[in-house]
Amino acid sequence: MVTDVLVVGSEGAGARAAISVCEADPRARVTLTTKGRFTKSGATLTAGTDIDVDSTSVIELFGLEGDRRDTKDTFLEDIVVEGRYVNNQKLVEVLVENAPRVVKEVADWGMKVMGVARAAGHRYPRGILSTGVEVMKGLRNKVRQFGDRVTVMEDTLVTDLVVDDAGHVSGATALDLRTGEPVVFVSKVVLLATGGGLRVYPWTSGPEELTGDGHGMAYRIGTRFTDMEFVQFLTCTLEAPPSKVRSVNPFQLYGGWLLNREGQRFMARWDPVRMEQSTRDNLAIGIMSEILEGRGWTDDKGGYVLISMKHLPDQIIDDSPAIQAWFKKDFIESVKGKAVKCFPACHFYCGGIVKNERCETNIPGLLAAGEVCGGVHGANRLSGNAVTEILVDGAISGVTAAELVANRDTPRLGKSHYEGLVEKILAPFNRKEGPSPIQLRKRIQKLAGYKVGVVRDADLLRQAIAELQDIKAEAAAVAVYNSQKVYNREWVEALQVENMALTLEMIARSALVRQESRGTHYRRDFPKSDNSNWLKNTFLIKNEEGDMVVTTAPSVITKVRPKEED
Amino acid sequence: MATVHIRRCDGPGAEPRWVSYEVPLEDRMTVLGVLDYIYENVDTSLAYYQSCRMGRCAGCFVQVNGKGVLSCETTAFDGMRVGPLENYELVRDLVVDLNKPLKKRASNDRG
Repeated sequence: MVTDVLVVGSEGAGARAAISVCEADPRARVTLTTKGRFTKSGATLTAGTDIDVDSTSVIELFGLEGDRRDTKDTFLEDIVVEGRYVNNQKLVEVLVENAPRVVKEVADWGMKVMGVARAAGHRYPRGILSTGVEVMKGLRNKVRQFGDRVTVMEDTLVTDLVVDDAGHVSGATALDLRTGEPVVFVSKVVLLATGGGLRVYPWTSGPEELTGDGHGMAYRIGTRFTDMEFVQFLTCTLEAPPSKVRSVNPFQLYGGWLLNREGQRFMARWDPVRMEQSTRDNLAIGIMSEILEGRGWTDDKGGYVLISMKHLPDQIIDDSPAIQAWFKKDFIESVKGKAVKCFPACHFYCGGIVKNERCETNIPGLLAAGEVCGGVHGANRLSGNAVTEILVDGAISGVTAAELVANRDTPRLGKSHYEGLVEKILAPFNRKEGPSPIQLRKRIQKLAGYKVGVVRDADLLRQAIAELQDIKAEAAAVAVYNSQKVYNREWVEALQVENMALTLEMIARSALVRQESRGTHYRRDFPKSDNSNWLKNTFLIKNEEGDMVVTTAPSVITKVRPKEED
Repeated sequence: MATVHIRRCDGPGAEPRWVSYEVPLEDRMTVLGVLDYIYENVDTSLAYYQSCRMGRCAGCFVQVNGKGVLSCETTAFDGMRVGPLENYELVRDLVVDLNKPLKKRASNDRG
């Protein structure tokens, strides 16, 4: 199948990029692929959401109650302070500069705006309130205006990038889940918008399909990554059926006790004054430390502690608007007088593929947009910047893609360029014996939660890296045990496990190199931040011998430096 | 243990069949949780769609005892009958093509 721009991932960043390509070049054709369904998959929909723009633009573009003291520079400063000074400030400049325009556009295309909020870490109200569903409504409306110039291909799992003899990305291979047949795409540009690899972890606020596919396929062809150690976790989430994960746990806010297996309120060890009302990072570290030190419970997902409501009179629970608003009645009734499981859940990847200000990667023909990229957020993402980033990146990468399309003929690919990759798709399906992809996925997730999670140290990370070598060997031999060709979930998982293992290995190796704690990255063997040695970023790549190697380089600082006391 | 019935069908035109499964129904387990259990422990060939698991993506619609519901938002119960949405073209088992609504009601019973 021939197209000009192949976009992998159909939601926020991908859909916005498709629009941008069509606007920039009236002849360019885009194929927008997703292994799920358009506007029914991906992380964008799960966003809450506040979408950040500087507060002056809140007034001028949206007519909402902002604060004119805010400027793009103040906004940048807050992003960098929250990112603990290791953001690439050139990329942050691009973000704050373009944010107002792209957020306004999606509102004009149909996204409902419900107000403005000031979230934690912001000096001024910058969060345009809407929902991920509304963001996609706006983007879908606009995509449809371009008619058949944008081909949306659902149920299409892109597996690998195809590189021509000159080392130029020239297409991709995929499995069409509807037919069970492989597909070869030939394109002038491939744009990755596959999001973070949240499902590498056992618990996440993200959807089912975020298995690091973009990370895996980019890594295999030599793409550079940065800051993979910085993974955001939600503090003490709980399993409020149906597997709901909450960014705030109202039981923790309204007096629930966090208990370990010895029945102790263990937060006394971490913050004896504030206890369960402590900061998010303290809570996450406290909970995970109890699990790691054997005072929590272990299970096939990597462990948990309890949050108890037994001491809370029913009236407290019934009269809490937050609890009532966030949970269904039957769930609330079921927890009264009880304790439930509580654990950290993966929320966001701050790191990812290295992009420049035009969303280009180090590989010609390969662009990347959104959460699959790194650099903007530094060591910790400021609340409300996730959707801002996907919209800005989508808009910019589409313009870059259109320029590349105009300057390149349709690549000529021979069978030799892709037949091995097609064989790789079919191999697990044809194999009669081998490791189960379902069991392998569970093993990766448990390892991730336990040894590459909220609390890290050199021993845990080395153990994880060693175990991942076994897992990668098993992933290469994985077998699909059922023989259905159409919509075969087990086959999909078989094609995902290598990506999951590679993504987790990137996190573990980067985390091992960063011998300090900063933002979302906590090393219990190096619990302090070290600004004299670590105002740096990690960079990761597959070297010529095929080894995963991590190096470091000073952070790009254009405007904001840490003050003495930081 | 509870018994649930799932409508299995290899695709449009193929013969549908109701298959019964024994599943351990945990407290407030969802229909999606039951489908996951069957896929992971009993029959990996079961086809169904899921994404966000929190009622936002609206991709996991199925019919439970004849009524269209989101499988991630619906509590499972002993004896339930789970089938695909009947007004869209079937892909396989519980997966339908939401871009292809059927003009008239499908003649066979999808639960």
